[in-house]
Formats: sequence, structure tokens, C-alpha cells
Amino acid sequence: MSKNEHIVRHPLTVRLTHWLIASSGLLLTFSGIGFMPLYGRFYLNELPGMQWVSDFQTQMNVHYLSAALFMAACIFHVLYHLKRKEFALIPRRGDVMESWLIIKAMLCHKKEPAHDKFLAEQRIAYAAFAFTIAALIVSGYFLALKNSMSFFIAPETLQLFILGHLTFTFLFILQVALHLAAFLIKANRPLLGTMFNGQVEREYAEKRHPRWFKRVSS
Amino acid sequence: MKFDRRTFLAGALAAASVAALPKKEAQAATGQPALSTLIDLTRCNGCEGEAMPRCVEACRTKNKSRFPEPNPAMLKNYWPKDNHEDWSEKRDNIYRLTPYNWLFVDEIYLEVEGKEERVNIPRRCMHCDNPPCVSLCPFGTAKKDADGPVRIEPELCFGGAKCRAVCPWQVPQRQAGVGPYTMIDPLPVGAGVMYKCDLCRDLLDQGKAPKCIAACPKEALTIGPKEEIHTLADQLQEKYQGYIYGRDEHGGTATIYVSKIPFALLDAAITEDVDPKQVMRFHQPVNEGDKQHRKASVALLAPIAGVIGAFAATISKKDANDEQE
Repeated sequence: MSKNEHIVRHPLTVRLTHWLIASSGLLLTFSGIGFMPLYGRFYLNELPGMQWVSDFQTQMNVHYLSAALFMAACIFHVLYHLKRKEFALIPRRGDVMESWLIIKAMLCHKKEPAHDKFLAEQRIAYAAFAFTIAALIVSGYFLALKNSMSFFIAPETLQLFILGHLTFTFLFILQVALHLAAFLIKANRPLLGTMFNGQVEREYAEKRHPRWFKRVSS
Repeated sequence: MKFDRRTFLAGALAAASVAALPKKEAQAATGQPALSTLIDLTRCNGCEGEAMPRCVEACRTKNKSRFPEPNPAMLKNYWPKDNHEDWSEKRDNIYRLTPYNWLFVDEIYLEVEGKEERVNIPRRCMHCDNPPCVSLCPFGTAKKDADGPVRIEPELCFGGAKCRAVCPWQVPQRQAGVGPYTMIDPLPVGAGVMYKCDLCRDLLDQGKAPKCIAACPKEALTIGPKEEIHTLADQLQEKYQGYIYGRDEHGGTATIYVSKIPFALLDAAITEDVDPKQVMRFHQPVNEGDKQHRKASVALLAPIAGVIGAFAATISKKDANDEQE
């Protein structure tokens, strides 16, 4: 626990993993959207330093590179927390109902239920993210495998994987947007800084995350 | 086995039921070998004296019902660009590939050993072994069948023309005003549908030869199992003391040209006084998809880094676990 009324919420390893997933995910999405192809049509390739966005081979290279970082970081995240037996983000029984109570409390300015390290919504959002990312990794891995080994796959099956990858990409974008939109809610804003400096105000933790606070302060 | 159009019965069964298999096994699973076509330039005379080469006529007649019928209201510029591609008023153009002309015969003149020669070259999709149009189509509508043909299904094609951009011969051609993008107008995405030769996929399924091959009066066009076509190409090359194009180019294709004249000379004649990007060449394109294979392989190893990293990072128990009840 720090001396200046802050407590550690996210250690450096967690923050680095989060930002590696976020930055590679952003690059993956950007290069992936460019496959459509859209950037040339909207003159993005005419901006300084952006010529590469309409070069499909370069786009593919960027996609492979960011996919490598993304997959490595996601697998690291899963195994790291599995080995440390850290499961605070796994949804629990009653999370859906609790989420509803939280939303209601926020809208009606009433008292929220006592939270653990994460809010019930965060656990549900995490599960949705995990499902989408797993589907993106599985479909993307399969497509890269096909490209690397040049094996034959029935075209209809291939199209299913491509369209699946595309669908989950849009879901991923939607989830990222909702993830960021969470900070429009004032009560969530103190958590934004924790992803940068890893710390949260002691008072905030005590008030909003009493169950977690009790554990870390004991 | 003779390969001419009349005896060709090597129709391909649908490959759709074949899941991921190495190429040879997939072809075996369909009950048919990979197909290839041979175009003998020493035989083709462009159907001299006729209004249009018979292969072109047969192709246009056979595929007429599949030609695009654009919605006139959708024939507008691709916002924010100030252009759109409309060939509907130029359907009669038989001198290049268009959405309404999936095969043309290029007639070129060149001097070979002091003598003027005329060469007629039927041109259409090469049906690459590793087609970049298929690898890079974002909607999976460009498809490569187990027996060789590469086809574009119009139902989900948004006409981004990426397939044309990555094709070394710029084969697929775009028509505005048709396809799924018209349903989401005025959203500024999509531009039409891409069209090209599918080697008469439906006829192959029935065990019949493509129409262009069946229509050739000179028997300049042939189709058959790939290995046998390659053997035939070798025999003709030896017979003519000639040259082969399409077997190794771009990592291999299902279209083999045989000529008495070196393809470099034909290419020089084709590109003379024109923008080389606007004509179908006999050049030596590198298959960028083949290069991507290695890069994809590297990306596939990334999970190992994640596993090693996770084990290395959890050796130390320095950080307390604050997540357990």
C-alpha cells in the first residue's frame, strides 16, 4: 500500500498487458478495416506518412505483426492470471441482476451495491470481450494457418471463417466503444487513471469497492 | 488420354464438402484431379474473317444472363470520389476484359527474325494456383475450387476492386449500380460487383468443357487434368521449339500458353506505346501471397511467446494476489 492515500489496483505487469492488448488490438482493427478496402476511397492514404494504408501487402504485414503481439498478450494474460489463481474478472452468479441494480442506482442517484475489485458489469463485459477475442483469435489463426501452409479448404468453409472474423471484428469495435463509454459515467472516472499509474485513491476504494478494500487492507 | 474438347469428361464434383485438406488430398477427395487449360498460340487465328472470335462469342452468349443489369439510379460517383465504373453502355466492347466480356482475343503484330508476325492471344483469368484475389478478398466472395477454377460470387461482393488491384493481370472488372452495396445506399461503402471468367463452373460440374474451349474451331484451347496438360505443354514446346507461359509464373496457374515466339517478345509488343498497367501482359509477376506465407508462419508462433512469458512472469510470487476471497 502506498503512503500517499493510494492503493495499488493494477500492478505493472497487468497494465503492460492491458496496453499491449489495447494498442495491438487498435492496430489490428485499423489494418483489418483497411482490407475492405476503404482508406483509398476516403483519401486517408494521401495524408502524410499514411501511404501504406492503401498498400494491401503492407496492411497484411501490419495485421500479422499486430496479431502476433495481440495473441501473445492475450495468452499471457490468461495463463498469468490462471497460474496466480486470480479470477476476479470471471462472472459470478447474480452478476446480471447486480448489473441492473448498479445501473438503476447510477440513474436514480442511489447507493450502489458494495463492489468487489470489479463491478458486476465489468465481469460481464470481460466475459463478452473474452468470447469475442477468442473467436477472433481462432478464426484469424485459422486464416493465417491457411495462408502459411497453403492447404486447400472448401471455399464455402473459408468464407464462413472470413465472415465470422469480420462479424466478430465489428462486435469487438462495439465492445471497445462501450468499454470507453463507461468513462462517461462520473463514478467510473477514477478507474481511468489506474490503468496508467496502477493506483486508486484509498477513499474511493473504500467507498466503492469495500469488499476488495477489506481484503487488500487486511 | 486425349485432351481435346470433345473427349473432355473430367467434370468436377462440388468441392464444398471437402474441409481443410492438403491440396492433393482435397482434389482426390472430390474424385477429380486439378484441372488445367492449354492455349496453343500457334493454332489460334482469332477466327479471322468472322465478326468476333468464336470463343468470345460463346462466352458472351453463355454468360449473358449473368451480366450485370445496373440500377440507373445507382450509377453515380463513389462519394467522395468523383468517378464510378459503368460498362453498361459499352457492352459491345470485345477488345478488353469488361463486366460484359470475360474473354477477349488480343491481336498483336511484331517482327520476329525480320518477319512480321500476327499473334492472336485469347486472354481471360489465369486461375492462379495461389490466387491473391482469393487470399485478400475481405468477404470471401472470390473462391478457389479444389479442381482449379477461381470464381467470384456476386451475392456478397461490394466491388471494392481489391481483387483487381492485387491481380497481376488486372482481370476482375467492376460494374457499378449492382450488388449488395445498392441496398445500403447512401452509406459510402461499396462500388458494385466484380466480374470475371469462372471457367464455366456449372459446365465443369456437369462434366462438360467450358464454352470457349468447346467453341474453338482450331482446337487451340484444351482442358484436362493438370499433370496431363503440363505433359502436353512440354510435348508442344518441344515440337515447336517454343515457349511456355503460365505454368510457373505467379507461383503457377491453371492456364498454360504455348508459343513459338518468346513471351518476352510478345510482352514487349503488348506493352508498346501503352501503359503496362492497362493491358494484360506476359510478364513475370511475383506472387505476393507466397511471400505472405512466411510472414503468416511467424505470426502463428506468437502464442508460444505468450506461454513462455506467462511462466516466466509467475516464477516470482512478489506481487500479492488481491483477488481471492
